[in-house]
This record gives sequence, structure tokens and C-alpha cells, in this order.
Amino acid sequence: MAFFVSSFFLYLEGGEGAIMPPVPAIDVRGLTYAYASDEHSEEKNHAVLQGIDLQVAPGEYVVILGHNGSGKSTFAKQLNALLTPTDGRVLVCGMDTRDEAHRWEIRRQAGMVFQNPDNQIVGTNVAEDVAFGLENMGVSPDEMVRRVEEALAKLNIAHLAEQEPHQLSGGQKQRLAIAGIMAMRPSILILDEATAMLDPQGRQEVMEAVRQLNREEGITVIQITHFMEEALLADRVIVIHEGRIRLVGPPGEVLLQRDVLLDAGLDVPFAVELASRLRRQGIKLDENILHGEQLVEALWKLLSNP
Amino acid sequence: MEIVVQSLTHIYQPGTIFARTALKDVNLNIPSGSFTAIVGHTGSGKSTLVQHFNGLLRPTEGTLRVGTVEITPRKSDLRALRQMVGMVFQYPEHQLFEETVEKDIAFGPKQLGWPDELVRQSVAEAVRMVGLKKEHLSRSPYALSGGERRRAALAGVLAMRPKVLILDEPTAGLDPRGRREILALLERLHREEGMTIIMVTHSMEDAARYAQQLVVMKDGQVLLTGTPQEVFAREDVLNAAGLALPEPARFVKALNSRLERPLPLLMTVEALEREIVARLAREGMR
Repeated sequence: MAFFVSSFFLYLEGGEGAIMPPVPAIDVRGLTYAYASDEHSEEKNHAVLQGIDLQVAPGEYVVILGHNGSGKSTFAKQLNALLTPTDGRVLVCGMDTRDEAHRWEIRRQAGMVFQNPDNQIVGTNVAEDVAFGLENMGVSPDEMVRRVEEALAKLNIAHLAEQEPHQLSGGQKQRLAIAGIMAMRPSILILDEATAMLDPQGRQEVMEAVRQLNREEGITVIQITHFMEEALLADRVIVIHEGRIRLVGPPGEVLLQRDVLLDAGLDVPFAVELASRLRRQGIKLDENILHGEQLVEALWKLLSNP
Repeated sequence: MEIVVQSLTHIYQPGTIFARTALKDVNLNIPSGSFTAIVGHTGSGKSTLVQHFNGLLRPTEGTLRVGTVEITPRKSDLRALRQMVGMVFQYPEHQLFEETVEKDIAFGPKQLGWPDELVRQSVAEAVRMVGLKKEHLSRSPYALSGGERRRAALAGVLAMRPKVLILDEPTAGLDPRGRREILALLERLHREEGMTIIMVTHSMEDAARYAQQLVVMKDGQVLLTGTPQEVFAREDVLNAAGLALPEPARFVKALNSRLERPLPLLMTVEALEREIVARLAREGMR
């Protein structure tokens, strides 16, 4: 749904009146990447990414799963030109990441939040931190105030504007990092395990804020995570394994592939795991059970029938 | 090694305008050889509490006893304590610093002034326990994967042959496989080496699966202590502490709201599988 709404807006706004077909938010073709070999690397010139193809529509919510070392973070860094392809190409909002002339615009359009909340804050208070990126862009002071207020409100941290960053909780720090990105008016938000260092409450705060940005602002979200409850909420889930896309599809397809997920070193949603164990014990259950509520529904009937 | 905490209060920066009470009249008993999980919201005092167990912090009021070592506001035998109680901080791999994994693991025992032969033995032992391979030893810590680095950091603590192992969020930031490996390792250290394990965690699932005793903390106080069964039966207390039930237990609750005869509150997917299969078999519904 989010996809249709926002691509519709992009359609209307595209090129000041000229009607243009929507451009994919992200368009990756044949992406291959090898880190320059160094003394630490065991395998010289081993390609971390090996021929990845992926198109992401504007407004889509994509979750990327993969174990540490699978290449998923390297892939994320390709999406805002922190790294550029060894072979193949990556287009972000139609701009080629290899083209240095586009690099700053790509980074404005595709903002990235990393794992450690303490490594991403530069301001001495919350509002100042959000303004930092705008100062670098040369935005006028009036406009800056407006955008900072707007970004803080969107992330539900307006009440913290005067606070010093070290007084914030982990979840608040990560929302501050996202606010700093939102102030630059991006169209894509990339989260590289941005919830990994948070406690359950902080994780929930960040997830709610991100979902809201996706639904209400039409922001395209690319989220790397290990948490299944986050993957269950995506429009599409991608499993990266050994530098390739192993699975791609809606959660209702990808997250049911228990054996493939385990083989890729990942978790399996609780309901999928329990249903699969019960099936192996000879209990007849629908193959498509993904969510806990579905399994409750199925088991309740089995356990209540006389 | 038993840990007994009596009326422990800890105030950071006492007597200043920044004074903050982090622990308030904590009483706690951690039996020798047990696996205890300490759960609570960020800022509930979990980390402050465990930092008393190896003498990093001293009580403002009250006392602790670790084995035979007594710690009071004025007295503590840090040397004896630090060797008996191994502390693994959050993201311990950030503290690896030597040129090779082997040198890093040997650092602690060397600092204790142990003879070379004993250091060598202890390192070999620790490496075996965490499941690192021989070829890892000559490498730079930076050449290891995230999960391997964390195990190397753990080996550095185990090489000092502690009786008690304290871990603050030992699986934070690891991928699912790395997480399972670390937890299986702790389970093994507990079962086979008889170590007393104290794990600070945000994961109710891990606490439910691995711990024998749970300690629930809030605002610097212990709200509740008991077996996972006892603690998770008190959802009111958990909610007050801002914590949730583990996912299997949440599932049982949702299922029970539809059943005439409820299932017991089970904590793991395996237990739930057995219970449902048994129930259906009894009632001839297979």
C-alpha cells in the first residue's frame, strides 16, 4: 500500500509538470564488489558481493537479513555511495553512484543510520545536532529552524530539543540520528542494524518511528536487522548469503523457508518454528502459518475439538 | 562460589549535587554453581550491581560476600576478588589490543604474575573452552569474525580461571548464529566446569532458556527473585519493571485465552512442542 501511495506522488511531482514514469528508488544491476586486498584478508580479491540484482520501488519497506560477514553491510554502503561497485552498477533515484558529481546528492537522498548510537552524534544539544547536516548544505537560518522543528516532531523527540545528547536513552539517540537525516529531506532511509544495541523498549521506539516515516511520508526504507519481529513487518524480505541474494519476496514467502534461514545462520519466526516442529510430529497445520495469531487460531481448533 | 549481598546501597558521586542513588538496599543470594540472569530496564541498576561483584565498585552502604571475601564500604581484597570473579563487559572485543589472539588471551594470567608454564596451560585451556582453533592463535584479533572476536575476549577472562563469570549483555550485536554459540558456551561452562554464571541480559527468551534463577531489577531495587517459572508467572511485576514475557510464554497466554483447559506457562519452543503433542495424543486428535 505504501508503495502505491508514494509512487503516485512521485509521479505527480516528477519534473515540474512533465509526466514521467516513476524511477525506482534503488536500481542495482550485476553488483559485484571486492575490497582492496590488505594484510588482514585471508582470501585475496575475494568478492564480497557477487552479482546482485535488485530494484526497490519508492515507498517500499525492505528488510535485509544475513549473518555477519554475509555482505549485507557492504551492500548497504553501496546504496549511498560510501562504496562503489567493482563491477555492475547502482542507481539511487536514477543517479549512478560511480558518478562523483552525484555523490553528495545521493547521500542527501539516501541517509544511513548505523549500529552504535554513540558514534553518530556531533551537536552539543539535540536541536543543534539535527541542524549540523543543514549547516553543511548552506540552508538559510530561517529554513534551518523550520526543518529542525519539523524533523524533531516527526521522530517524536521535539520535547528533547534542548537536551544534551549524552542524557538521551539509546532509542532516543537513534531517533535523533534519524531526525538529522530527515532534516535533509531524503527519500530513502537505510538502517544498518540500527536497533542492535538498543534494549527492547528503545528498539520499539525506533521501529515505530521508522514505520511512521514509511507510511506517512512515503520514505523508502532499507533495513538490515537480525530481529525476526522487524522482518515480519516488511513489504519485502531479502536474505543475503555469501555475497548473493539467496531469497527475496514478501515475509509470507521468505520467512517460511525455515531450513534455508537456519542454513544461512539466521533465526526463524517463533510461530514458523513451532508449527514446523509440530508438523514433523504429524500434526496437520497450514503450511503458511507465519504469525503467532495464525498458529493460535489453528491450535485452538485442534485442542478444543471433542 | 556463593555471592551474598546484604543491604547494598550505591550512590554515585555522594555528597555532591550530582549524587545519584543507583542501588537501594539490595539483598540477594546467588548460590554457588548457579546460572543467574539479571533482567531489568536500561538504568535499572543491573550493571552497577554486578560491578560490585568483582570490586570495580565499592558499596556506599551494606556489604557483599563473594566466597570468603568480604567487601564493605571500607574494605575489599581486590586482588583475590578479581582473580575469582571474571568480568566480561559489553562488547568485550573492543578491548582486544595485542598483536595476536594468543598474546591477548595470555595478558590477564601474566598480569597475575603466574609462571610461564601455568600461563601457557591456562591459555590452552581457555582456547579449548571457547572453541577457538589453533590457527586462530597466531592471527591478529582484527582478522577474526565478530563472533570469534567475542569468544577470544571471553577466553582472555577464562584464562585467569575464575570461579564466577559475570557477563554484561554477552550476545549484544551478534548475529543469530554467534548468539547461539555464545549461549551454548555459557551453558557448557556452567554444566561441565561448574562455574557460577551471572548474565545481565535484555533477552527474556535467553533468560528463560538458560538461567536457573532470575533477578528482576527496577530503579535500583530488586523487585523479584525466583526460577523462570516463578518470575514469569508474575506478569504484574514484569510489567512494572517494563519487561515482557518471553515469546513462547506470550504465545501460551494468547492460546490459553481461547482454551477451556489452559496449557502450563512454558518457556521454550521445545517444551511447548512436547506439551502440545502430548495433549493431542491424550485426546486422540492426531
